[in-house]
Amino acid sequence: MEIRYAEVRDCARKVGAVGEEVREFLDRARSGLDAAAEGNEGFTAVDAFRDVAEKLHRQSTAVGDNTVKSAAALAAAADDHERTDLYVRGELAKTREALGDASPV
Amino acid sequence: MVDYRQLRAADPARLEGAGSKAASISRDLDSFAEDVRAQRRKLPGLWQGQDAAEAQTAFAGHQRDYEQATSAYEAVGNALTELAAGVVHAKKLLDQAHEMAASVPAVIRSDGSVVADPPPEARKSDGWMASIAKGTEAVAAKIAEALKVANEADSRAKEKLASVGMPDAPSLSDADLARKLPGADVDTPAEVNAWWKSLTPAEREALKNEYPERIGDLDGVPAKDRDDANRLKLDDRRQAIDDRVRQIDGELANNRPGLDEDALAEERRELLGERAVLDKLENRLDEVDARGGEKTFLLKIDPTGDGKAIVAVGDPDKADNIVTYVPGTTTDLGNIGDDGSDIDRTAIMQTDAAALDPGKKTSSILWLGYDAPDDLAAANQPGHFRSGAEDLANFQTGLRDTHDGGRSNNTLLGHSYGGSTVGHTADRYDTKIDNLVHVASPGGGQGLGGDAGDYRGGPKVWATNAGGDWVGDLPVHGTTPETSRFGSRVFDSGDGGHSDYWSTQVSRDNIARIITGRHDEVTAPGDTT
Repeated sequence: MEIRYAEVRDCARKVGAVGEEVREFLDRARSGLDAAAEGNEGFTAVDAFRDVAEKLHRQSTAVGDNTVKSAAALAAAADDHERTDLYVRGELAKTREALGDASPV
Repeated sequence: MVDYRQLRAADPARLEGAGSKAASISRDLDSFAEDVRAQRRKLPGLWQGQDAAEAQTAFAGHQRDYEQATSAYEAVGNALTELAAGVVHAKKLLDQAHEMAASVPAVIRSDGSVVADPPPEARKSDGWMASIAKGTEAVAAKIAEALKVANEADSRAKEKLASVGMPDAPSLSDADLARKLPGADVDTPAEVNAWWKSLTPAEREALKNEYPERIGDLDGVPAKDRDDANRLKLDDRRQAIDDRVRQIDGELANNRPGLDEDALAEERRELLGERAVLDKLENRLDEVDARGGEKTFLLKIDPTGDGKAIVAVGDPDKADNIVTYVPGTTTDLGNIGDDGSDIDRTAIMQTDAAALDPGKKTSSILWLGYDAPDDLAAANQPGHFRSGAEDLANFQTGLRDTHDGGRSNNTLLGHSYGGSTVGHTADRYDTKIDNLVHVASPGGGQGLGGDAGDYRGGPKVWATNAGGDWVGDLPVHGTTPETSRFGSRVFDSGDGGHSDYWSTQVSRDNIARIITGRHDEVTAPGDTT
């Protein structure tokens, strides 16, 4: 199967954008959640909520980070494969040329 | 423990606001999960190899993590919203205690303790003093009740928050997730509902995203989850159509030798026709949602053939009154969204019932879960309602299985051929309905010897045929329901024609009365109101 490098890179770019957007989005959304605790002292659920919200924010942001890394790894792998492909094709062409075969590769 | 002072100072609006915010974060994270899923699905068509497979696995893991975060934020939102409701209730009780104290009279101290505060003249009367002492005790009891309500709500919310699953929990692989799908032993709506409840929130979220075409169609899965799955299925189908049309355009542009241009052009035309039908449906749902009343729920979408769809206006799982409307001849997916057509009729029944009974929630459902006849010749045949009956019965019993809270008042209403469809279904299956309504039905859906007493489960049976409607004279599918020997209660629907039942006020009023259980107010033809 022929690898469609440009589309793979586009796919990686879109997934990476999701990861970045998630991180920014969660930071923006945090203040709205923190407001729950204000004026509600004495409720054990509010303390539990603070813990859960903090942990959720940390872990969800980490998922965003990991998404960005995976997308970057895919794009880098596509670049490597394309470079290798081009190199192999180039070498093959040179070899054929040396052997007197002028047909296109 | 929440004490008196803390409850007085509590601010449930902030809890409610944070609950809504968490729910909104949940919805956004779900769309992020869908975005990753869309790219992940494209990848195998672009690159196959070890690196691509590794990326696939990584993306699948991220998608699952977002799904877990989606369900976690949703659970947080639910816990806060429920806590806010509990605090509102508790504070109302405190307000009542203060009103009682003023009338006793008694004084509530800053720590919540209560002391009698008799006026000087009361001290001369033993009876008066005894009454004040009793009133003081009642105030203290009311404060204790308020604190109990607040602390119970607090404990419940804490427990729910403690059980929220985190995104770092081990993610399900695709193979593991596939094994979570219902097996052959899960068949009836009740079994489906039990299976669905046995899943974790994150598993449910993942199944909706990964298998929307399976989950969206399952009777026994709650309406909100079916809606999530079907909206995604709709998006997937539109994306697939767009991709294929682009591909066809590319092939036609390349014009390779041997290309069957006519076949491709025909396929393209059909795809764009289907796209237009799906767009029209979604636009109609958006339009109903924009009216500001109850939201729409897409409970089924199947574009194959003439197409099928089930659309609810208002969440049936939370409604006190539910009406399921089954349309008749010539109805198909392409025309249910027309002006004045079936989605409009469904919305009209919801708003009429809600206006008549504003203290209760009403859900109105359009059920096009069968292939309705295309023309009058086809409408003479019973095959259409026979083949749809089991699905309609399952949908009805599924409404009972997924319903929250007390028993709802469920009505099954069929118009025209849809009337015979609901009749045939109730004749063969226990649909667990409270009311069955024939509107201009060409027969009760049974043999000529059948009557209203044959319908299983003993629903109240209603029938009408407007003065200007000729369909009531056609006993094509059994006894005409408006005849006295059928045994239904006949109600007035005015003098309009076959399509005027939702534009004639007396008809709309009577249907709303039936849906909301105000049966004494339903008028018969000839009654003056």
